[in-house]
Amino acid sequence: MSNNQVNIIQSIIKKDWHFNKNNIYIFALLALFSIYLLTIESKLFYVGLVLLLSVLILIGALLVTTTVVNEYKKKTLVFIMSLPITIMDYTQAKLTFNLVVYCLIWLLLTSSTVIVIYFSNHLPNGLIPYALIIMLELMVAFILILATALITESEIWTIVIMTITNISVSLFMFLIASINDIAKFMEGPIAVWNSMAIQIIILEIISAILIVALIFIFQVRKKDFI
Amino acid sequence: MTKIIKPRYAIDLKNVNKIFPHFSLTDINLQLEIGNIMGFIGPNGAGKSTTIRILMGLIQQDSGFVKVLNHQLPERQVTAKWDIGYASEDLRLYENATIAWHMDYINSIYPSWDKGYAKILLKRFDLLDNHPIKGLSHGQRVKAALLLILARHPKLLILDEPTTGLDPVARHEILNELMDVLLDCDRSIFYSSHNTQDIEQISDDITFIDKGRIIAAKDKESFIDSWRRIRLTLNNSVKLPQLPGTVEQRVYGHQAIVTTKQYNDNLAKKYKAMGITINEVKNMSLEEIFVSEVQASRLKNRNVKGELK
Repeated sequence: MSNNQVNIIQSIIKKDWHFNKNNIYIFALLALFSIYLLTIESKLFYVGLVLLLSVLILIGALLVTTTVVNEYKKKTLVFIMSLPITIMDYTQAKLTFNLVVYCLIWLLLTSSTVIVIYFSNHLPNGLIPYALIIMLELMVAFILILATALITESEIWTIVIMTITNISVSLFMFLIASINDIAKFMEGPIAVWNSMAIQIIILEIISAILIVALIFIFQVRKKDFI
Repeated sequence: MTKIIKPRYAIDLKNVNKIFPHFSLTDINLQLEIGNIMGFIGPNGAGKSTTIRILMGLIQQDSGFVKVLNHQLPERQVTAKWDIGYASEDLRLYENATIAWHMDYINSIYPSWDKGYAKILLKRFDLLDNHPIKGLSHGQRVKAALLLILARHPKLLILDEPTTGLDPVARHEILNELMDVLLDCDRSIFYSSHNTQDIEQISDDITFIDKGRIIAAKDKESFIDSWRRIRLTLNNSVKLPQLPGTVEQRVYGHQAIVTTKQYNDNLAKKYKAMGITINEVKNMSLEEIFVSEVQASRLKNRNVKGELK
């Protein structure tokens, strides 16, 4: 890849940052607030938990909508594609921006959640593997939504996948909590990283990598864009 | 010493085909010489935008050869696009950003961005750089988009119906600016529109497209010189012959109107020799020529399909 192409990919990323930075700041503040609520030993803990999950779901939806879906919908994509770039350059720029921003907020919330559980007196450390599995599911769901938007170029399909993944968060939480090898250690005093927990985590990570790979495979085969 | 051969064409399409489920672009052959303006005329849905998207590398042809500024597409679209300025009716700028932000953005990408010329264009187009795009009228948005491409001096302008929906004053300003672009004889313009007035005003070459096929392509003067509408009087017992180049002929009793695309003095002589009186020979506007070409092409296609059935 030439320096010029790298510069243009960077300019698209900077452009997305310029138009989204205020929203990102707001969600970062909400994320910090949710972490603060998690540390409180009262019903506010549950408010913090709901807010934390909501922040991750909403920032994902917002990022994909504003940086990918709106580019199609508002026809600014034609402006971007008139620049000296290919579909793959565009895809790289969108993937980089979305993954970096989402991962930073995800890392902040995930590490904070683990730390809060570890140091909290009212939360058993056995929850840590369960929490990590749920947080990873949210990450995979975000990548799936991003992939749908980039590959299908369709607002409707993106909304369909957003809805399905959002509904499935609570189902997934229930499903994981009903697995005996996970459930029996959740209330325990130590985090148990048994083979079931590790397998689920590895499966989630592989799913995330596979979806990103699929984005490139589909985009490189695309003959028509816009 | 190696002799550098300058390419002759800014755009060179040969036998280009593209098939969609409900539309196909068939056997497109098109050449735009460097330094010329080509008007690309067709009705809505004729294939103008599809052709242009192929020229921009946004759509890949199924077969055929596409070269833009001597770069083969879609493989070398990035290199080609450095020197292409593209504006289309469906291109939108970022609504929440100002014209100044867009100018800075383009400036950050293209080393050829000319700040001085951008300022001149702002004045000529009566635009304020601190205006957000969402507060601008359609005409001002089109002018802003054109400013962004003109101020970086691209070698080739590809304009897809840029003046659609503009008032006559805005159209005039934009066409004047495009004419100025061609003062630099290395620059070319490919201009698609269904507004024949604009094209007649600025083009050197004209290509008509209908239903995904090029139906005629010539320089403007050839079109204007060869097309005529002739009003004739048929004397008793004379039957109107179908002479070469006749596109349409209508007979009303002893009166007839013939549209021809091969008018010359010999044609007039032939009619006279057959005892037909020529009452009037009228020049045709580009719009009349375009409509006649499209109708003739569609009639020919219907006849071919009828024969095949």
